[in-house]
Amino acid sequence: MSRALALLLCLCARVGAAQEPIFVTPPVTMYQFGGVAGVDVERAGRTTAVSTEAAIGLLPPWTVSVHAVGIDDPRAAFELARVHVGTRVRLVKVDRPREWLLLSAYGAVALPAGDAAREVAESHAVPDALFGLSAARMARGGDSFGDVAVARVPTPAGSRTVGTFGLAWGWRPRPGGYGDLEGQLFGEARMQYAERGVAVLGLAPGFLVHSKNTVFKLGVLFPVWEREVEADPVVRAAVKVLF
Amino acid sequence: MSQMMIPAALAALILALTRPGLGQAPAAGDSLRLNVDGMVCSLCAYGVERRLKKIEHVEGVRVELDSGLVVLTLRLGTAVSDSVLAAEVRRAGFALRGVTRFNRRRTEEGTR
Repeated sequence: MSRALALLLCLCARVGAAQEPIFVTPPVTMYQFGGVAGVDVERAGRTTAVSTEAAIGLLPPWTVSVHAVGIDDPRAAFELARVHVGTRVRLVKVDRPREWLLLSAYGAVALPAGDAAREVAESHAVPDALFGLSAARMARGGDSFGDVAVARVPTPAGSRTVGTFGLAWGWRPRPGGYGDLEGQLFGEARMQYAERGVAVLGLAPGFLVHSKNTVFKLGVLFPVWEREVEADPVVRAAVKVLF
Repeated sequence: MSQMMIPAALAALILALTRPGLGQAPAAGDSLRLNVDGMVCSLCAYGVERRLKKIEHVEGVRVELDSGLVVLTLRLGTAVSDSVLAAEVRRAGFALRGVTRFNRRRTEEGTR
């Protein structure tokens, strides 16, 4: 149970995620006829979740994505848990010199899968569907993000609703020129609330480095407060390429 | 008095018509300096660069992140309108605030 909740903190955030930050979903939509593809590896206790995502921009304010999650549990063989189809729509974008503000809405649903996949999704709380709003202010000195999402998670008894709320602050110590290797340090906070009063608050330090169209990011999510459950720390690393 | 005004008006007209960035086709080999709002990091710049490189006649693209500038070099004898540039920057997800045009041939003549 605790491991499932810890994993869910990240799996909710990952669908539709582009390049920043690490656990909090960013609102990026601007990939017309291009996109982003990446691999995320997440470790919680002895369980590893591997996911891949590709997002394609059909219009500047509209992207669609495909996201697959597989779980490697020491008690069983690697199993594909869910394939999600998602979309993201830009609601507001304000461009200023060396700064932009963006608000977007996103959603994803899982494609039908077999009983084996459903069992894995249930045991590791991989969502069937989710909807969220995310906002960002990005600037040369650093970025800040906010995200609210609601997910429907399968359980052996049916399903339950889980809400997440995330905030992230980023700082670029040395903003570089275009093509230079550039880094950003992140501090993130995520809170999750589930039906029947389950709640988890996690804090995550992390960093990312990128150069042109390639991003690598790594973060560790530490549960600092739990009610009814004891969540494990989660390590998450991701590589993404824009094309 | 009116005899003096006619050459002056002609000169003003010629100056206005040959001044870059006022709707006429730019001269051959122009460099364009684009002020792009919203570019904050390499990933933003990559998107802008990728879109602008697809424009016909664009020979080179150079991004200056700190100043929010993109410098385009066009092939000799070609031109790109402001509306095309604005559309491509918008498709990359950003806003074009202004374009400054530099005529390569005129600059070379001026330095001789």
